[in-house]
Amino acid sequence: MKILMWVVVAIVIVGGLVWFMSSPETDNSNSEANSEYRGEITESSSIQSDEQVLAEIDNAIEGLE
Amino acid sequence: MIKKVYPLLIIPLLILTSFVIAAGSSSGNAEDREVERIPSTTSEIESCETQETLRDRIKCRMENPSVAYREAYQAVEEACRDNRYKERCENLYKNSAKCYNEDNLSERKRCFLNESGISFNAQGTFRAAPDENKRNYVVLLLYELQERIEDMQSDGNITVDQATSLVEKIVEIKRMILAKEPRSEIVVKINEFKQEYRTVLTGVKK
Repeated sequence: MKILMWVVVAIVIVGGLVWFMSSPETDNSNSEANSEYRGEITESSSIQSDEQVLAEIDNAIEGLE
Repeated sequence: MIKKVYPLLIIPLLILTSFVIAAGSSSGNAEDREVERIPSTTSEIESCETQETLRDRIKCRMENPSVAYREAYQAVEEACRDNRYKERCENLYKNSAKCYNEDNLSERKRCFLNESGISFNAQGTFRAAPDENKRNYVVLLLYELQERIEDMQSDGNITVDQATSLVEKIVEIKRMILAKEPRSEIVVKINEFKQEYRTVLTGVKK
């Protein structure tokens, strides 16, 4: 009986975590954080790798009018 | 008598003629063949400017590095061939040439920003910079990527055809940026390029 209770508790906790991580509110906060950065170039961003150059190009294009 | 002499003269003449024809068309003389072939294989292309399309000119330069080197100084950069922005584009290339000699990539990036006319002094931001300066910065970043692709090709990591296709797309994007085309259209082209670039680089050992 006790084992069954712990299983139910574990399912509730894991389910709650999954719901929280995938909730639209969480997604919005992430995209807001990204959109604040998008279109802005900083002196510290690197162009070391090719992918970083591509990201820098993307970001700079976002900043175009 | 004359009737008998004619056949006797004609028969040796025919035999001799057949020898001459056989010798002329023979494939047995390897030395002669080499002599004939040498001019076609070693003939240096003098210019890639004679090629009609952008793709052909890019490919030609990749296959003929000495021509590419010469034309880098003598010919107008492919992205700068539109009279609407030719002078501005050529000045950007000329002034930023020193940036590509900078080994430290952080310094190189700073040089790109400076030559683009973007300053972070006095709390300036990239977004607040004039649009033309921001476009300059994108052009210089694209040229940086182009140089890396050309290096990968010369190192044998990607084929001439793969490099040609990627560089052609970069040149087209640079032209769009310099021609002040809308951001939405540039983004479509950039996404096409990125997709091809990642596909090509998937099999490349770094």
